[in-house]
Amino acid sequence: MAPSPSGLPGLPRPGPRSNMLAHDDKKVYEMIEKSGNKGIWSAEMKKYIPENILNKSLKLLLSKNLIKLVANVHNPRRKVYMLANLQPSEEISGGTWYSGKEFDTELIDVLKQHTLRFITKMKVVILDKIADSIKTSEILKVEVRIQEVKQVVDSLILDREIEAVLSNGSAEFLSIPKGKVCYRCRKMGHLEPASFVSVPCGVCPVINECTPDGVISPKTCEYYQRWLDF
Amino acid sequence: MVANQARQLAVDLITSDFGDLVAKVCKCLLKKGALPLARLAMETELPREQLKKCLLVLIQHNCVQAFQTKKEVGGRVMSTTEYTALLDDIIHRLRFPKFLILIRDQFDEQCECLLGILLSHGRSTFEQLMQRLFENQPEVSGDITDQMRTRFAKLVQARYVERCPASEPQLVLDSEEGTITKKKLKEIVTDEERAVMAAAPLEAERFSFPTYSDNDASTESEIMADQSILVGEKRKRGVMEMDDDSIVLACEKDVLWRANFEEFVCSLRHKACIANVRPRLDIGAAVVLEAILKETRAKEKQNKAEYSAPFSMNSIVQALLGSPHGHLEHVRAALNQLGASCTGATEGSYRISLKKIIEAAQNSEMESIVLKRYGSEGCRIFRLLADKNGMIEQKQIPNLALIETKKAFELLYKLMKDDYLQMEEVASAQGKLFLWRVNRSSLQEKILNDMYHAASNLCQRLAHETTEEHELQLLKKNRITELQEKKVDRIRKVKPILEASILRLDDSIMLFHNF
Repeated sequence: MAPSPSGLPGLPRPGPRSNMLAHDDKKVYEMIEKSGNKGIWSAEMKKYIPENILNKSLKLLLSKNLIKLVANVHNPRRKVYMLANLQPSEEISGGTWYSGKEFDTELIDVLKQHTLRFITKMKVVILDKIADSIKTSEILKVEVRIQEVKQVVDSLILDREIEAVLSNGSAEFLSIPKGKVCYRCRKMGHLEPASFVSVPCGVCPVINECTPDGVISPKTCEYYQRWLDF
Repeated sequence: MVANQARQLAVDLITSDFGDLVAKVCKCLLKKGALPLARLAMETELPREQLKKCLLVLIQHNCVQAFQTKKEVGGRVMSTTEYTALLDDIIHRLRFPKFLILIRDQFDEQCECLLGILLSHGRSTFEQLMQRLFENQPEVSGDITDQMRTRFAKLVQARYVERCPASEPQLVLDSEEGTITKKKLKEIVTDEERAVMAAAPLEAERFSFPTYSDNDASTESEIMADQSILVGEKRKRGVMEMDDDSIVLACEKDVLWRANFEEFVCSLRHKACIANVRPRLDIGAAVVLEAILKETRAKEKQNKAEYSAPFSMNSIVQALLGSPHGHLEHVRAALNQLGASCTGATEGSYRISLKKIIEAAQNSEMESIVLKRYGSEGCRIFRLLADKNGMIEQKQIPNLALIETKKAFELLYKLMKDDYLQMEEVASAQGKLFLWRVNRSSLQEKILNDMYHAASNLCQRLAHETTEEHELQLLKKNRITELQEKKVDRIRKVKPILEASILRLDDSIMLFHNF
């Protein structure tokens, strides 16, 4: 197939083709075109065009390969349309962390484990170095951006696996300029289980209905029974 | 809200120690606040004599404080005696095993024994203490009594034992200018607090236990204590004319003593700080903190003090002389880790924020609860909002916590439903915004309330198991079936688990309430 004038092989040229459309179809096409790479929700278009006409137009435009239906990761049930030649924005597609409609938990876990291993090995390290190590590891098929590495690192901080510290330029921070943010493993990574949640009441879903001589009471509690019968 | 579950726990403790009648009186006082005898009789519907006995038990065990109030009726000033239950002191009953272990570790088993009597029999004179200690021994030599006297003096000197407060103090009226300053009056809200304040003995008198002048163990503070007795007792008895030994004798016969819970709480607070620092920082920091707290204990004036009393680097190095962590450089590094700050009053004087250490321990306890209840992703969201210490818009949360949008929203609503998070709806040009945050103080209150509830449930279950055990024990041995035998075995296994769980849970209650 010869490349289209838009430069992308196999994709239709938008402008002139829309001129060949009927009035209503053209109106729908223009609305979708205007929404850019964020796309437009069908319910939004219904405000301006009657539903039966809109459905016909969408069917026609889809069959002519002028528009496409894209998955919105935040609202998977919504039908969002955009021009066939556009790439959906991260707001719609979810970015690197989504493969199709699915959130790629596995990829995130692998990246987190890799980052944690790297920080443990290096003792103290700056963000750029972590990004380099991810790039060379080829875990990600696409180019990894620094903000995505930061997201992984921040998530490890929230897991209390690592901590962010400012370099003082000496001792363990010798290779890092003074005042630069760097990351290292936390001394106390994992929490001691709280005493409160090791008794049944700590995780009890009906604690608010539990009274000394009520229907739910510690004397007759089934959770207690199971806990004490170990 | 906290008070509800705490009150129930207090009633459970009184029921298990003193029975249903005393618990009924205590429950009424906890629920209604301070009451005079007549009202109390009406509310509890108990005969006067029985009610008086119940009150005496509660007063004897420092669970109730009596006080007098003046009221003007028809131009005449009438004085009435009211009774108020001391909620915190009742809940301290849960901690008696901890207090005893603390004394055994710091002193010895005999001191533990002395404290044990004070805790199980309530307020006692030294003479009564000795009688109870040696009640099964026909003859007791003077030497042994002297040794016990020295040990008792040590407990008083270390402030673990104090003189009992006045039995029926006159409460200062709001309009009167009394010993309580106006500023303090503003802070003191409840009758309970006002009564405790009015009943408290003078600081110098509180820890004075005179010993015989020929006793070698007599220390400087005891000599000072002797002097304060002279002043304190002068009005009553004219002891100026008595010789030293008569003063001691009078003191041993007449002065009532009790355990000073404040000091125990303070010691346990210090221990909790050290235990928290050890895994979070390192052993060096923990050793230095321990030395600081030991050195500055005498200077610490306030309970739940935000900062340690001021200390100098030199005094800590001196205190740690010979320890592998006592080198100047080590101490300096540890102080840095502990976030020691200069007091500014004198040069080279430092202090440590104990409040920050306790807050860190509280945070990790809260996170640990969230982790267990909502999993690692729920905990990540909670930490994100807790670390931010402000509000975050709902749409940003999945990205910041690296969690799938739908799952993140589900977790947010689950955490909000259980009162771990708060959400605020704000109208904006882009439509409605949902702002999320952790409200630390209300969350702490909620968690504390749940903990009191859990502790109360554990106590009730323990009491239930104990009653069952007693009932089974009443059966004649040859009549007991195999099934009943199995039941007895089960109860014997279950009781230590319940008791240990109560003590562990109480560590967390103290962390959130007493520290």
